[in-house]
Amino acid sequence: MSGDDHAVEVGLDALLAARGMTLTQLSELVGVSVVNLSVLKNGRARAIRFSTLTRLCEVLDCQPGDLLRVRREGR
Amino acid sequence: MSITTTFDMELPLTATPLRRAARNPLRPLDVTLDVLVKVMTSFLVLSSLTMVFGSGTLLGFGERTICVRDDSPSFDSGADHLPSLFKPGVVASQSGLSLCVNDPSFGQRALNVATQLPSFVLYFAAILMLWRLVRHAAQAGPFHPGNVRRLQVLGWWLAVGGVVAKTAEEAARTSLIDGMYRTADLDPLGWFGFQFSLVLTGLGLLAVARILRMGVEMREDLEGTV
Repeated sequence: MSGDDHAVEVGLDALLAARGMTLTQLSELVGVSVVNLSVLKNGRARAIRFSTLTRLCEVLDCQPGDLLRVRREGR
Repeated sequence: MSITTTFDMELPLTATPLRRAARNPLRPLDVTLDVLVKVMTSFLVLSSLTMVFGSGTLLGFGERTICVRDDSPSFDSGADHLPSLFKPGVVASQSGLSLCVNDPSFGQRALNVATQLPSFVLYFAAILMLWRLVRHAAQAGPFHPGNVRRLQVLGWWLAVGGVVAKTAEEAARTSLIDGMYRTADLDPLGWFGFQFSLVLTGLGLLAVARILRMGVEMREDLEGTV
């Protein structure tokens, strides 16, 4: 696996659906632009700041493990 | 708490001042280089016109008398050669001759141009490249791959050009001088020359380009950071 490849999956769609929230609403509450949240949701982000992760978990009332998952090969 | 203006408008004391629109820090340099390029191009065009339609000269073109300095001959001082202007113990010597030819041949004219044209092309093209680099950086931002590429091209142009242009001019100058003596004494090894300052500048720009490339990669990483 090269430096840019990763197997992290972001479960933001499921959490938003469960909380009945739109991406725009989440953007306003978290303070991150809709564009960046879209990048995160679509798996195109290369990294996430701890501060962003903290705000997301506070707003969505979740833990990092609920938001991020590492895909295992063969599963 | 508030203050009243002469127009009877109440302004809160803590009113936020108007924010200036963000200015591009590269804009002054972009404008300066733009003016410089236009001035140089205008000078070239005007000089060419005076050369074609008048008696002007440009980079050796149009010169009716060609002069070149030969630094190889030297003459030591002595009581016979130079006036005794100097204190005892001081030895003066004259080095070099200025050689001029009226109504030069076509070959001599070509060599005369070749003693000036390479450096001009080198510097003019370098300024154009710098202008393009700054313009691109002003529009696309500093940490763009295109800036790295342009900086590398400019660096190689100066580093290699500093050797090639100087060597070409030295070869032309030596050939021109040899053509003015009854017996030629061509020494091709003596043609090699380089402008150390240009070569050093070119190498410096290549180093900066490498550092800038690292910045571009870091920016690309940051762009994907949420």
